[in-house]
Amino acid sequence: MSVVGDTKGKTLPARAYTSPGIYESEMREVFLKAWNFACHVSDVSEPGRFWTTSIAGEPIAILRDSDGQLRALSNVCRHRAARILSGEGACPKVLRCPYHGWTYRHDGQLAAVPEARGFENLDREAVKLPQFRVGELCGLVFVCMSEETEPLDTYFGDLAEKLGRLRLAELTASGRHRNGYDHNWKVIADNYLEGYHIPVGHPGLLRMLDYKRYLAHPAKHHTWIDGPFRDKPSKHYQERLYQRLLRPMPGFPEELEGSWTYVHLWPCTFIDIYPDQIDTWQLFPDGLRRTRTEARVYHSGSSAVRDRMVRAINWRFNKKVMDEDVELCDQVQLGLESRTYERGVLNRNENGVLAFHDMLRAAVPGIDEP
Amino acid sequence: MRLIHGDDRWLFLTPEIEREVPGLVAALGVGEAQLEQERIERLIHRGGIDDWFAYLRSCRARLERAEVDEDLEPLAERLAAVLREQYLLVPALREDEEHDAPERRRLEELVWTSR
Repeated sequence: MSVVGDTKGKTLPARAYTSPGIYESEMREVFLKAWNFACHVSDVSEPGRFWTTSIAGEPIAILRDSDGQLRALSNVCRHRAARILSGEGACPKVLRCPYHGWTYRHDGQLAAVPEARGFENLDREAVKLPQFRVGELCGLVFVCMSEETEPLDTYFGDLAEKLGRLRLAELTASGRHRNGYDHNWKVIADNYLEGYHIPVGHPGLLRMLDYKRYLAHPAKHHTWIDGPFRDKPSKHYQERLYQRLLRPMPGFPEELEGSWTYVHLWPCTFIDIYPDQIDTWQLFPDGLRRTRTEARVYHSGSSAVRDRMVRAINWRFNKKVMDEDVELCDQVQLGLESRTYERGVLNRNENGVLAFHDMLRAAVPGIDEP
Repeated sequence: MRLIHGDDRWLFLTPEIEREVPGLVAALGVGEAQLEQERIERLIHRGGIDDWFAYLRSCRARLERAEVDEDLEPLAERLAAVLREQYLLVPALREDEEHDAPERRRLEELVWTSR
């Protein structure tokens, strides 16, 4: 599908957000082929530690096996399809299905079955949980369900050089904040990827961030967005307090100290890089008009009052920004269902959206047809 | 429920002015880019919508005083157009004030006379 001609500088058509067929294609052509973020390396640091996630609705368990190898297993019991593991935790020896107790080794091989003599046609050697590719990049664990996708090492281009500076693996991961929104997943991604809405949607941020230097840099399977601070104190008490108390986490790269930096990882994981903490925010499409989200926080582990206060103020700011964004996305979702809206044009400050849409045009056949 | 504070909403006017005006007034010889930048930043931090429009009027007045050679005419027109856009955007925030209509007309003239 060509990305030039009529669609140059334009958004995807509204139909890309409302067509069940396109949604199915996205799951197949984007999510099942991408390296999807799964968890922080500390979540699966010890043998037996696991973390559950899903890709395009496919339940997956990330597990550190007893030999220390990282594995991504289908989290669906081969007996009656129950989900085997939930949430996160430890299964030191084996994985046991909570429904009938089918028990699997860490490599996915069926190990034992209750009342095994009661099955007429059970070839237990042939029963194994499907495995997927799994890898680690800068302290983050990714899973890919396709054998044809290029290796993780090269998939995100120069991202490892950029993220490596943050020493993410050494940070303390906390929380697993889940939420859900009645938006197509791309509505949320589009909103994250552009700063053009900031002056109208989040005018208070203009006092903190130097909007004229707020720039998105699309790159291979990721977009890096600089949000540099202004160097003058804000008139707002809380903003001023944040500016005054902020001290970067130990080891935080000097060149990012004066910024909030945002990163989009294809297809829909976002990393907010603040000098005081780092967040990941992941979208899980859950139907054409429904998206679940999961957020995590990574910080130095400092319990100093000053650092906790800065993190709390940061959380408050960004909660407000998030609430404002949800309200905006509500309106966009409604508008995309309109019979009169076809597609929009993009400002230069929406170049992150353009890059994202061009990637979708390249990945999903027919997505650009009105 | 709108979460944006009413007194913040005018800030949405500021980006294009901040991006364009310091360079344009400097190029036209009616301001110094760094000083202009600082003035705009001060308004963003500590000003309000009335201060903002007072600043825009000062920009318009300086533009009118500028001696614009033919080769600088596109810059003069651009400055007038950038300022005029502000008067087209502000009705979303407040009722017209006494200065608005004459300013808008004057800026329209400046856009057209420089063509």
